[in-house]
Amino acid sequence: MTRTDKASPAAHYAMIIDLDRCEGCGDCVVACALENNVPPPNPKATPRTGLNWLRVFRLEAAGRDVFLPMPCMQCGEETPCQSVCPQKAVELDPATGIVGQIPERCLGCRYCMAACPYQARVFNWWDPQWPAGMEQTLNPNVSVRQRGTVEKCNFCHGRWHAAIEKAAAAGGRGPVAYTPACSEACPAQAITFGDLNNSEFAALTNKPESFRLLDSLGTGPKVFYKTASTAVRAAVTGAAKDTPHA
Amino acid sequence: MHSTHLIARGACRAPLPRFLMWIAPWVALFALGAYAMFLCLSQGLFHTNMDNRYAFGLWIFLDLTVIALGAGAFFTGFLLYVLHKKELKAVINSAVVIGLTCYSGAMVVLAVDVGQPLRAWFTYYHPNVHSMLTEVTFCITCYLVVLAIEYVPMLLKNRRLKLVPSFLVFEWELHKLMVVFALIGTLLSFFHQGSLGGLFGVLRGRPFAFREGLAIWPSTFFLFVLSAMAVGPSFVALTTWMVEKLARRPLVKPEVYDTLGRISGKLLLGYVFLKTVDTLLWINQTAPDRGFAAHRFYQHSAFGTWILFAEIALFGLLPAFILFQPKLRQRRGFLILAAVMACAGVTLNRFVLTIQTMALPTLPFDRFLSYWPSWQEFAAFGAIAAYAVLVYSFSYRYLTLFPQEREIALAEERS
Amino acid sequence: MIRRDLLKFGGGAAAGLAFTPIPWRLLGDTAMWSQNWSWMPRVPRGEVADKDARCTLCPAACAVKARCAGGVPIGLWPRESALCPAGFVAHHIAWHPIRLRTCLHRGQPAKNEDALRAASARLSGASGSVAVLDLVPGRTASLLHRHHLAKLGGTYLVPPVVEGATAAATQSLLAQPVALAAVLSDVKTVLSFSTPLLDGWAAPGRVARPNRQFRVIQAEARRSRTAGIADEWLAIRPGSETTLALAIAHCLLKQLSAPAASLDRFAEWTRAAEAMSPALAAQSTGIDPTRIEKLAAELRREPSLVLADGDPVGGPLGNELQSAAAALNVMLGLHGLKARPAIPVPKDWAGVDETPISNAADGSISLLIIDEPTPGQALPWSLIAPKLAHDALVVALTWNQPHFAAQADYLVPVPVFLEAQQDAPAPHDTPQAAFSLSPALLPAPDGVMHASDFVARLAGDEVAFADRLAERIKAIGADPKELEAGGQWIAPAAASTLAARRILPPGMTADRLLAAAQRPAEPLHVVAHGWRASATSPLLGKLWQESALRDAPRSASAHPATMRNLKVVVGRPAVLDTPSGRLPVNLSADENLQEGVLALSSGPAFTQICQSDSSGAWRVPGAKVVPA
Repeated sequence: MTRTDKASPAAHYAMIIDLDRCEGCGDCVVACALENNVPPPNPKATPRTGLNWLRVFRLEAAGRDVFLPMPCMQCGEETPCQSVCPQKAVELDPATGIVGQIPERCLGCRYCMAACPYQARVFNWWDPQWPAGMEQTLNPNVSVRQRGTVEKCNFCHGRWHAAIEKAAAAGGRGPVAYTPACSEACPAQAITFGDLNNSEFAALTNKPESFRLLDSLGTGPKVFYKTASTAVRAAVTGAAKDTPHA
Repeated sequence: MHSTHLIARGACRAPLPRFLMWIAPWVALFALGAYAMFLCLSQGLFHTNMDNRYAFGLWIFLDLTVIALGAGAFFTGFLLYVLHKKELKAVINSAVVIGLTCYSGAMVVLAVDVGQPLRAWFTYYHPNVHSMLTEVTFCITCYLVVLAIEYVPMLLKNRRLKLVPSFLVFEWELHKLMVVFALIGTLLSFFHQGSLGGLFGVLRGRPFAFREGLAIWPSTFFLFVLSAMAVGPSFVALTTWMVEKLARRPLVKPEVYDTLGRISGKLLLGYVFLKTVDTLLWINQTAPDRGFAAHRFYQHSAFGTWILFAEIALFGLLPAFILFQPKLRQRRGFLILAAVMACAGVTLNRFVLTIQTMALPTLPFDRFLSYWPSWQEFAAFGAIAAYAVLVYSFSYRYLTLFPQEREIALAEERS
Repeated sequence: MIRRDLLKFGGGAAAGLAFTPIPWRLLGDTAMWSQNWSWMPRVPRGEVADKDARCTLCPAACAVKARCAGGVPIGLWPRESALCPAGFVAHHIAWHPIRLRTCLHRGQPAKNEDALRAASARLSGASGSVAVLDLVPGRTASLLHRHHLAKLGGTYLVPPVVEGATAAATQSLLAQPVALAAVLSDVKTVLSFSTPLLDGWAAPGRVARPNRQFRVIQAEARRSRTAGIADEWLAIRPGSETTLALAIAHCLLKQLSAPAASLDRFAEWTRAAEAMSPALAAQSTGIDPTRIEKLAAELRREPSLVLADGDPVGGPLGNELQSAAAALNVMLGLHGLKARPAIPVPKDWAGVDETPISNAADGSISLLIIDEPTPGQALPWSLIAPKLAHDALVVALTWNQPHFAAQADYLVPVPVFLEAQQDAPAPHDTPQAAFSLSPALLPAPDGVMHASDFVARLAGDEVAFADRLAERIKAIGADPKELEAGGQWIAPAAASTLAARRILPPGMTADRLLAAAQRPAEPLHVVAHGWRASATSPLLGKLWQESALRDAPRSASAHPATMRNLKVVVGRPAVLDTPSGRLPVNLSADENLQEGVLALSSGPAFTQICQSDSSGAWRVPGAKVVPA
């Protein structure tokens, strides 16, 4: 899985999600599952036991439904899940800033899930199953995870890997540009993906309308949100109490 | 060979049919739990009611509780062999059996509780030294070996096994080393009790559980050690009292209870004091620093501030006070009540740190969620309880758990 | 001594074992095995490459990149524009668990030839007639059905129009015979009556937030996905859409421009509108009179469109409301509607006309062939059943097992999306008449038969559908290679300016309009809705089973007070009990719903319990919810 590419200087991948654009269509959720070989729901699965690497919460604010897509925040400072894993199945790749999960090494103790303040991690409560024949449509670039392991969003690591290989084949070095599935899928272009080492992209995250969830915990999340509406921001950051529906 | 030959000389034990009747329901419970464990291991953890939010459920809570209560083993050993509290020789064997069953049972439940138990040894192969769970795994497995070694002499002193001369020699050699094992056990226990506390204290993403600390350990590390040490003697007293009630005969002299109660009371008082300081620090500094006003944690009806009161005052300060007062603790009823309360306090503490931490939402728009374990979770734990009762029952029947038993019986006969 | 020797041997063997490869090999094997269970699916191998294509599962015909590994599609990704969630996984339909793969005769395996023989036998019989019910009209296959039916002397039946119903109703008021389509980019405001405008009605690319240049006002009893993200949600009482439409007309009458008043049947319309003052309407809609007046002014001020199409699963909203919406569009100047040119058809493909299923004579059909090529619009069986002769033979040419399993004598499997070239019907949300084709990227399983080939065989025509499609493409003048590669042929725009001749269609009276406006709501008013694409892939369950982004099929919600009145509890199994049948539902509480309303998300199951009322709307009269 995540390995440092010593040849390339580091990237610092991050995401900006525009809450004023998202309308909760679910494209990102489906595209994410498709890209990352996440199995269809087990007949008994619920939102609490489901395998969604990217969850979309629905809130009501400013007189409308506000949707909050939540991938893994790829915490860069004192990454809560990484430090607790007893057998190094979670790695923060210094070359990308991506928090990777190594399913082949995961014990399934779920300590990382308890540690994650965003509840971005999901557990394989069941054996993954596809309807007969549908395994032909799995993505060759992403391995299938077993029952009893934890998994989560890795900013479409398979795509990053493919991009790095393509760049290397063309003789390129250094960080590559690529797009995760959710960002490619979004019909409203609400998800912008980029490298914080790119000053133009970094500037977007520094705007006054940009913010991060649970910033005060000091875990350095690399998913930023933005909204021009103070009511929406208040609902999402907890400055005002709204009714959740997710 | 008739089974009575196995029973210690001079000990009076129930006839075999009555003993079998006593163990039968426990065997049944064990079988049910074993089936539940088989379901979880062979098909997956969907048999539990845990979910992505309640990633830890009943088992972690009870594991933590059981290990805290089982602390009597290491602490009694420490008091006896290191601090030379001779009167505790009367209960050390019983404490070791309790410790052994608690720890081995907890290990079995943990193996069922993880998704990929076959990879458990990866922790030794790819250890992450920063993880509290690595510390727990290392210390518990090592301590389990120590407990087994402490159990062996007891086993070898059995009336029939004694007949093998080399066993006697081995037992004698082991006995001489017991102080070393007691020390190693104390050290290992100290660390894993602590790291079990640290398990939640380090969760910087969970402001309800997160605590600042000393060096690499959060305050819960030390509070867990202290609370386990405080409650260990209480639990030993409680179990001894229960065995006495069941066996309908005195097994230890009254001063043993007094010593256990006194030590437990003093340590509990210290624990309550430090826990109060820690809670105040957490309310006024740790939680607000991480963007959470502490009162927010108690807004959910099920987990109001009453839980804080119950944990510290009702089940902490009150039993500490009872056990601290010589007059009160000399009355057996009060002593046992206080011991029960102390055990309840530590159980509640483990509950708060595990279940309540899982229940409280961290995201401002998220909800409070409830969780109720499935029958498989209860049954798996029931199997461990049954296993503990069975091992203890057999040990009580065929080994010498209470060396004073014969002495007391003789004294009673004489009088 | 023997015992000691044994012990020594045992101890020595245990210690020695550690120095043999056995334990280490065992550890390694455990690790390998615990990482590779034999029952885990293996990912395919092969080069990953994108292929441009079109998704023809709905009229939007979105441009896609079919990502293929070793030639097999592993995902569809948006090209140029956007996709709906089902678009990404549209290729899964070939492996969907409910997919029909072999011919079934009343649940037993049969051969397609058996179905053909039975159908031919019925054709040669004396009484009744043959009919084809086309659930997705407007495709090349539809044209061929009509062509073959002309030979067979049969009837070509179509379900009630839902998407595009307002355009169709408005079209009937025009002076010139043109097909109308909505053009959302031409308006500033869209007033949508209970139509999933932003949730499947329009192509996702055309209504995604950055491209949406118009305001959406959603008048709906339920906080639907469209209502939740609309610029304004008018939470009207259920079934009061016509009331609100007439009240808006009432306000518009006051400031009417001259030409509208000269239209045929204007007096009839005026009579209905004048009777419905905003104050009166407020009582039954629950919308403040001043808001209604303001709304009329807003619609008047800027180019506006009124839509009352309904939900593809919940059904049409009724002729009266459609007529009222069409009349409002005429009053507002026919903004947002444009003529859509026809796509050429080969000259010798003359066929029978379309017959709405409601117009077919009762008991007239002795052989009914149902063509259900894609997951799509629902159709209540109660609309079909009366049209059948008592011993009618029903053959369903369908992609799935369950929908017609109970009613059809034969279920014949058809090739699904990506198993054969298919074209999409014309879209209703753009006046661009586009011809799009989805490619055949997957081998069709043995035993599937194109619906068109089935009907052709009955008519004695041996030309395969694929060849017929090529004929059509030639007639259109499009490049087949370009179409195959995801291109689109677009008809030259029609240059006609629209002019209305009348304001109400023949037969629509003020009394009917007012009766519809004053129809009392049911004591438990069932508002049905569904997402027609939900059956495309099991992976879509991520949206309703593993999250709450959409309502799960067979789920129902009601206000907590309604639940108390019904004496039902959230989380307990419940049944929707109706005179037409029972439907098990999962209940949830929704504070946003009005009391007495049951929002039902049910998919095709809804069609088993609903009835078409006199206006053509689908309703569930006399519904109750009881604990299961």
